[in-house]
Amino acid sequence: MIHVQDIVKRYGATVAVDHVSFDVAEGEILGFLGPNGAGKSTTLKIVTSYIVADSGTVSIGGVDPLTDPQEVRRQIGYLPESTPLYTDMQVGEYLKFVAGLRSITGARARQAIDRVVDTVGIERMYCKTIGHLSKGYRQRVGIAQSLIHDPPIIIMDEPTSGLDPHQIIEIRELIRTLGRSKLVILSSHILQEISAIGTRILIIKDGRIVADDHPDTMRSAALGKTVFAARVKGATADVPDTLLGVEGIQSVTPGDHAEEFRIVGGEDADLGARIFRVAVDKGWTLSSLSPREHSLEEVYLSLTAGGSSPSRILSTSEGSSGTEGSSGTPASDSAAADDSTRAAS
Amino acid sequence: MKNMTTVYRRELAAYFNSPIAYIFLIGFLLAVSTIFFVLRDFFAQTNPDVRAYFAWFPLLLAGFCSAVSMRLWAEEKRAGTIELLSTWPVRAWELVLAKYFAGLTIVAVALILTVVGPWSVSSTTDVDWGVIFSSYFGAVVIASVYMALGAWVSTFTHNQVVALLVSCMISVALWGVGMPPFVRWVSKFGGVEFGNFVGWFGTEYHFQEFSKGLINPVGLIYGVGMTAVFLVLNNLFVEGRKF
Repeated sequence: MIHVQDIVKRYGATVAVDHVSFDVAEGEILGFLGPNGAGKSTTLKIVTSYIVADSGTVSIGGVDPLTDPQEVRRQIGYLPESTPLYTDMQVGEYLKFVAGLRSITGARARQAIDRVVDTVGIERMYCKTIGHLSKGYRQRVGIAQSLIHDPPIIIMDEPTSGLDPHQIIEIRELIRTLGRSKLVILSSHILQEISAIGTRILIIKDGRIVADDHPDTMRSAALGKTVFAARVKGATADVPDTLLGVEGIQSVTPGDHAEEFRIVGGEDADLGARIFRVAVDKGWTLSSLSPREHSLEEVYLSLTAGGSSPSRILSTSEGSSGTEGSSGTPASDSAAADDSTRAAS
Repeated sequence: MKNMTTVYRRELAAYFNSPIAYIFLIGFLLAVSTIFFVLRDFFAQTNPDVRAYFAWFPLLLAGFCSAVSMRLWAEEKRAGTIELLSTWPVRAWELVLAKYFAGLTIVAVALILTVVGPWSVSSTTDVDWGVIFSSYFGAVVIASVYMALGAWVSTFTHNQVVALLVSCMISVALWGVGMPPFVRWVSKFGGVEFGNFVGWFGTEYHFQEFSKGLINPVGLIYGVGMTAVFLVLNNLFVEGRKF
């Protein structure tokens, strides 16, 4: 449905978007992930026809934004970064204005407004002036505006930035619902956000796409490693050395808990069995042995930081503290909780 | 056309949703009245000339139109709403015209309010309503030029104050080049022909004709032509943002 081929956008000497290509199909929620200034917004602005790429082609449902921008705009609902709104207008007045520009008038406008007001939950705010609304409600008005013409494509640039944790969860739920029937592209510099909603992740760095995959595949395969967490009751100092002697094991580091070890090997289906056999041979009490996937955070950091130092890739605690600070949400806790559930199951 | 009406109504509402429009309107009315009734010593005159009421319109309108037009694009840029506006299915020229007409409507309201001046004069002495009508006609013509200019200047920046100052400077210059002393001064160097040519671009140059009671087609051509030039530039700048 969206086809982007080799687009380049320069601002003076800076290359904001550097030969980016990707396709998105209906029913996908594409998460655009990257550090601030990576070129996410610029790419989205090109797709929405707000700006024009220096080279490369874009096609939205078979239409080129250059030749028929009006048609492209009809197909897209767009929520720009930081949700610009006319703060002097009332919510209802604003939505009626947007409906008018979308050629929806009269009874159809009323229906459309009722529908989006209900979808984003702003019934009580209908007669309030937008400037008097909280950030969360403004965000919803911005989303309502993007849905008013029931577009097949929705593009949201940082839809949850600046919201509190409750609002974040609500907006994510909303996006997930929208994703069932529409093509959704959302961008974020927060990994948890994207991994929580996206059915596909596109990581962009310095204007280039560095990874494009499903979150699960990316998690497990991007680094080509198998990771286990083993808990050895009454572990002695020789446990790490012994484990390192096992065929296929590349590193052993202390785990998140006492007496726990994080064991990393290559892509190897039998690694768990061999760890188990060693424990039996040595007479260790193995209280737990669970496979761990690399958290997306590690993948993300290794891809966007440029370096792939083992400590970065392999130590979860280090990775999460790095992004948690910037997100300022308990989302990484929930991601960690996700991890442990997955490990337990 | 429907898009234009929708944007026009929103723009007009934006003026009246804040106290700004009222402040500007009252300010303009006060300035016009103060000059006429106080500075021109209206009450001391035995045979007041209503033409004096309009004498300062070209300069006052330069300031007033700049104040009204400053927000048209600068505010959209500051708030970021330009991004939504440009990704809704609306053409740039529809936006340009809608904003220009909304601004011009505010000026029209201001001019209608000033009718109170000639009306009060008419209660004490006979006035030539033909002159008053042609003066208002001329005022609308030059206000149109100022408004189109101000709207274009407003696309340069996201700062309304910068837009105000720049368009004020250009508008006042546009008024000044049509002033007879300036035209005479230029004529001294480049000859009368050249002086008149330069003066032709000034708003004052044409307004003088209108204020004599003449609706000169040349003045009308000037107004329409200059407005069109600035609106085309405005459209180019709005479209050019994409690249």
